[in-house]
Order: sequence, then C-alpha cells, then structure tokens
Amino acid sequence: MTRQIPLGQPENQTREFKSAEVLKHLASVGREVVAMLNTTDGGMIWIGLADSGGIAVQIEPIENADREIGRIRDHCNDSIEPSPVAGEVTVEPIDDPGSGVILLITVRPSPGRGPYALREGTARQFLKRVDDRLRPMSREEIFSGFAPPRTDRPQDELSLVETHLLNLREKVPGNANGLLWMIIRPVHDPKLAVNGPSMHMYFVDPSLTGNRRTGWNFIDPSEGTHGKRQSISHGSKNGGRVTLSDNGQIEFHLPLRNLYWKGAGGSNDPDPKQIWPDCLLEFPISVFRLASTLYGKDAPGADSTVLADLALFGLRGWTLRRHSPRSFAYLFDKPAEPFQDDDLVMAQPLRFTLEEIVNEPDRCGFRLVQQVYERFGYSEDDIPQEFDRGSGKLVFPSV
Amino acid sequence: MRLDVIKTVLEESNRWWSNPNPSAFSSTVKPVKRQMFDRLMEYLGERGARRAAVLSGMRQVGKTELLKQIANALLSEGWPPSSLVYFDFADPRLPAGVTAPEVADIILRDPARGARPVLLLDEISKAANWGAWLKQAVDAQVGNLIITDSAASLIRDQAIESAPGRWDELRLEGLSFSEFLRLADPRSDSPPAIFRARPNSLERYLELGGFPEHVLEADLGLARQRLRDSIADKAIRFDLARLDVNTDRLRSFFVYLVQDSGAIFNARKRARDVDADERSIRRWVALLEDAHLVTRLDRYGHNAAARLRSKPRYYATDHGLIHAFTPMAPEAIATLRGRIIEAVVFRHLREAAREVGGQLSFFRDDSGIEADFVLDSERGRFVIQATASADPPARKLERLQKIAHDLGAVQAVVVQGGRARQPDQWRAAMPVLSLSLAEFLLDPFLVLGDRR
Repeated sequence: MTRQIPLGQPENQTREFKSAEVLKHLASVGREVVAMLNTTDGGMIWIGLADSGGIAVQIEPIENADREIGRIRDHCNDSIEPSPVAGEVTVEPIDDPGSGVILLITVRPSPGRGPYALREGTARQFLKRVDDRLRPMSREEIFSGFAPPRTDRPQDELSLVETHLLNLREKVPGNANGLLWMIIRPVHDPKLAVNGPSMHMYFVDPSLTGNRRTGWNFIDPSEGTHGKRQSISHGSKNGGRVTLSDNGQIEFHLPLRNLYWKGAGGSNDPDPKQIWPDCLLEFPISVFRLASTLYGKDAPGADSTVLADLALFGLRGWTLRRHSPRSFAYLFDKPAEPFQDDDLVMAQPLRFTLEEIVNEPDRCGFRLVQQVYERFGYSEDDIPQEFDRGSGKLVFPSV
Repeated sequence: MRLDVIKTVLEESNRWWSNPNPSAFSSTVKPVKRQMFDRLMEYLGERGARRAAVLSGMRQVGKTELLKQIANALLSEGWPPSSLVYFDFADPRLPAGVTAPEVADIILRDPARGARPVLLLDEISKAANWGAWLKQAVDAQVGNLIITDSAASLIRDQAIESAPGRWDELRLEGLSFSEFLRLADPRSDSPPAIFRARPNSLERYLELGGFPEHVLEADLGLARQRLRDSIADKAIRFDLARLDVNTDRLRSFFVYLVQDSGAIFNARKRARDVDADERSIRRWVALLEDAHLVTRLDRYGHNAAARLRSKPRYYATDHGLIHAFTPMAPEAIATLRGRIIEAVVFRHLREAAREVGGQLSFFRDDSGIEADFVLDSERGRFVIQATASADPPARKLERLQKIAHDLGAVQAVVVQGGRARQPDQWRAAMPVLSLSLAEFLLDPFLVLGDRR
C-alpha cells in the first residue's frame, strides 16, 4: 500500500511532523514516540517533513534511510520503558518519486502495557500527547497505569528470561575493586554444544571469533578452559571470566581495573580510575562476536529474541573521557566528571534479534556501550569513531 | 668557537651543575628500571674503579634512558652534582669530528668536577679516537665510566686495539616480557599481576616488540611505522653509512633477512637471491649483526670447528622488527606468528643463557630433523622447541623427545603458542615439559626447571 505524504495537512492528536534535522537528536523522536504510546490511539510521526506553523510544507529527503531506520529502532528499544513489543512501534521508508525517501514511524500501543517512560540518564520522563502538544503525565495518570500484576496468568517466556537476568544481576558477587558484568541470553534456547571438541579454541585464538589478537577481549592467555556438564568457562575467579551455558547464555565478568589502560596524557596515573574508551568498546563487542560465532552455528530462528544486559559495579569515582583516544578532541577535552553513583545499571536488558547478533555483533555491542556513555551524560557522537556508524563495525587503525 | 659549542652542550646536558635540586631532573626520568640498571650501578662502586662498563644495544632499546636513571639515582643518593657528567656524542649540535680526548679534556680540567667524577658517555663511537682515550682513562682512573653505543663491531675493534680487560661489554636487549609489563603498569612490581589486569599485553608485546617507546602506544600501525623509520633510516642509513656501504642495498637485505628470521643462512644462495656477490653478503650480515639488528645462532656441534663450518641461523634481534618489516599479506600472516614466537623465545633464552653461563645453538641432523634450540649449561643440556601451535601434534613431540634422548639432554621442552593446559593423557604419555608462551616469557628459567 502506498502512503500519501500529508503535505499541506496540519499536525493533530495522531500526527506529528519532524524535519530531517531531528535525526541528530534522537531523544526528540523518543519523546514523541513515548507520548503517543501513552495514548489510546497512538499515531504517526513523519520524519523528513518540515512544517510551518504546524502545517507540513516541505519534503527533506533522508540520506541512508536504512541506517536511520536501524538507529531509530535501536533508540526506541533501548530508551523506552518498557521496551516496545512487536508491532507497537514500526519504522518504514516512504519514497516520494520526485523528492526522495522520508521515514514514517507508526505507533500502536498495546493495551495494558503502559505507562511508558523515556529514560534519560537515571531519570524517567512520562509524557502524553494531547492534540499536537506533549505534556508530562500527572501523578494519578502514571499510577493508574501501574495495575497490580495478575497472578492467575503465567508470564510469557520473554518476561521469564528478563526476570531471570535481572535476578542474576542482583546476585553478581560483590567486588571491592569494581566489576563489569555482562550477559547475553537467547529467549529460545539454541542448545549450544558447549563441550564440543573445538570449543576451547575460541578461548585460545581471538581471531576465530573475529576479534583482534592485540585487542581487549574475553580471552586471558594465562588461563585455561574448564568444562562442566552444561557449561564451559574460561578465565579466573579474580580476573576476567566468560561462561557459556548450553542454553546459549554467555556471562562475562571483568574487574573494572581492566578497563584502565593509561591516562589521557599518555602516562600512568597514581590513581587510575579512568576508563580507556577502546576497552569499553571492545570488551563488550568481543563478547557479542563470540555470541555471533556460536549462535551462527546453532541458530534457532533468525527473528527470535535475545536479551543482553550490562552493568558496571563499583563505578563511583571513575571517569570516562569523550571521543577517540587517537583524536585531538580527546586530548584537549575538559577533564571528565567522576561517576557519582556506586553502580551503573540499565533499567532493563536490551532486546536484539538473533539475526542482529549473528550479522551485526559490533552494532549490538555498541548499543550496550551507548547506554554507558548516556549514563555519563554523553551523546552517541561522543563514542569513538573507531566504531564506524555506516558499516556497523569496530575497526582500529592498522598499517 | 669549537670549544665553546662543546662547553654549551655540556652545560645544557648537565643541568644539575647549575640547579642541584634532584627533583628538577627526576620528573623527566621514567621511574621503572630495567634489570640492567643494577648491573650498571655496580660499575660505579668497587668494580668501576678498575674497569669501565660499555653498554651496547640496538637503537631505541633504552640505553640513554638507563644513563638518565643512573644520573637520577646518584643525585637522589646525594652524589655531588658537579661530579656527575653526561655527554652524548651523537648530539647534532656538536661540531664535526669531535674527539673523546677534547671533550674529556674540557671535563677533567675543570676543578669543579672533583677528583673522580662519574662519566656517562652516550654513543661513544661517534667520537674519533675514543678507544685509545678510554684505555688511557681507565689506566689513569680519571673517573667511573659507563659508556653506550649502538654498534658492537666498533666497540670490539677498539677493544682489540686498546688492549682488552679494561672494560666489560654488556649487551642491552629490547625489553623482556616482564620489563614490558612493568613499563605498561608501574603501579605493580609483579609482572604476573600486571598480566592478569592486561591480558592482551602478550599479543601487544609479540606485535610491538621490546621497544620501550611503544609499550603504551594506542595506534599499533603508527608504532610499526616509527620502528621502520627508526631502524631503516637511522640505524642503517645513518649509523652504517659511515662504513662505506651501499645503504639502500643493505636495507633491502636487512628486510629480506628479517622477513625470513630464523632461517638457515646460506650466503651463496642469498647472494643469488639479492643479486650480489657472496663476499658482500657476508660483510652485510656481519654489519647488521654488529648493529645488533640481527643475531646469529650457530648449529649444535660436538666441537667448535664443526660449529664454525656449519651454516648458522639469523634471527631478528627483536621480534618487533619482524612484524614491522613484513607486509601484512594474507599468505604472510600464516607464517608470521611462527617466526615471531621463535624470535621472542630466542631473545629470552639468550638472556637466560648469559645469566647461567650457558651456550645456545640449534640442532639439525643430516636428514633435516631439527630442534629450535639447544641450551648447554652446568645443569646439563636442554632441547627446546618453540611453536605457534596451541596444540602441537604428538609426532612433533615424539621427535623432540628423540632428539633430546640422542643428545643426552636432561629435558626436552616445548614452548607453545597457546596455553599449555594440555589434556592430562597427553602430559602422561610424553615426558616433554610443556610451557605456554606466557609462562615461559614471564619466567624463562622454567626451561631449566627453575622458578624465579
């Protein structure tokens, strides 16, 4: 079905126009989506339609529409609570033969899932659309949406796995010196043969999972691999450790000290609580590359859901500088503010499809890392450019 | 005018003469000290009264930094600043043809230097007549002398002319793996603890080599580029240009040799390969060895004459050179790792052999069966094989065991690219000591059954 682009028509309760410029500030799109999710009827958001006084007046074609669709989907999945389920938020390209492609976001709230919130750092914004405006939801509106859970209905599989991951996160053993914890778990078990004869090689040669030998990854060359009946683990209790279970779950622990490489000035600091951006990017991406390799062999279904969670425990006082360490911007940026909370945790695990993990593991890892940058008060642009937004790959310079 | 320039360079190189506060200088010196530091400090004590220490090593391995650390240590311990002299004969501001006697004359004629100053003289071979002067200086006990240079042959030649026994030649290699780790994270003195916090250090070390400047380099490509520039342009084009040699051809030959690091050296065959005569090839390889760019390993033989007749192997002295000078073509990558691992094992075995007074060679019989290294020491003979494989096949280990048996070795050792956590049945079946590369590099004396 071809959609009629509503040029000349006004914004209203179910229709919003945004210029192409808004793609530089995806939080604005997220606010509109949340506000429509918190209504009964939802609505449509047109991106690439400039308005004048609320009337759509001009088409602004979107370059690289496929990439932008991916960004919008990721942003909605990662910043809206609860994450939209299938069909609640769809993004599609609309081609105007004379002018180019613009994007249409269609919002169809599922009854009983709200209220929805937009997460910004540690804050939550509950917004609602009224006519063509957004307003904060009242206390009563918010609480009326939180109906007590029905105990007579069994939880669906996704919720069960989500709850399982949150419980695991709660039980992560304390580590006085801080810990990065990460988990990837398919909702439908792919039944990995974790004790297969060649499995230990993934923990010997990083290139077998697409990782750099010299990079920051889940392999510790001084440690061995230990198999149990339903799982295999590599690493040590006090160092980095990755555990694979036959239900496809991959759990990764890393002492926070391993995220320090050197100070911004190039030397070691007496109190090194500075995250080296390459470490923060590459460790999680390396684990997703492992997942991609494993799930690619035993994939249960391309569109099945996989959940991933990341937490940094004991992060208080640590800093993270913006930009790539290879850039002038990194060297000359103002000193970073130390993290103020004890722990950095996400509101909920992020959702991926198995296909995304198998085909674009780096982009999946990037989405987790983006959450960390957000908590430090940074935007996506502040993440090092070694993650190529176009190809979705993390590539370090090499001559 | 000439003397004024030398005096100015001296004043600027010895800022502690005008500002005796040690902290003004110490902030510019790296805090982590290499193992060689303690040995050099011995020459400032009783031993230094009778002999000088001449430290030689490849460019960029940290000779100058060691001299600065020694100066800093002396100043911190209260050594009179005016009796401490550092001078770099490669300082580009110096007039052409500067000689050791004229510099020494300026230093020693100044009464402020005291009766027996410490003289730290960098890149001595850039000075004319230094050998004769050093002989005289040691005999006259003008001071405690520590001298550095990048070229072994010059030091050796001067030593022969100037009567041996007046100085000891100490060789400074690139960083060992333990030193690399300690430079990467000076907060800890324990290399294994640092390695646990920085597990990718092993692969970085294999790729970057033992050059202190690059330990924390974020851009590995840039580090390799700098290494190529420093070695190819400075060590070959600058240092060796004085020896009346075609440096372009020498550089090409060096690249050829490094890309084939660890191969048996056949001068006649090499001459054909690079279109040169055999005599030139022999001279070139000697020059590269003297500049510490390549290191020779002789074939195992029951007597010295047999060793000399055999064809040796040549290794890149520092394994980082192999990576820097090998194009990253897919077909090269497959064998690159093996050559790097062999070179890095050789580098650590050399140091261990020097320490225990042992001798290293490689084994090859007439049928072509080989073992990478044979280490003869007072504790017996050890046969050592280095392999990139994480899981070497049993037949290779059986062959190694047979060589060890035939040579009457006390132990066969395999150093393997992956971890040495072999299945238990493998260990039980083969009485070969298996060490992971990381284990070995952290403590090379494990091959001798020691733990240090």
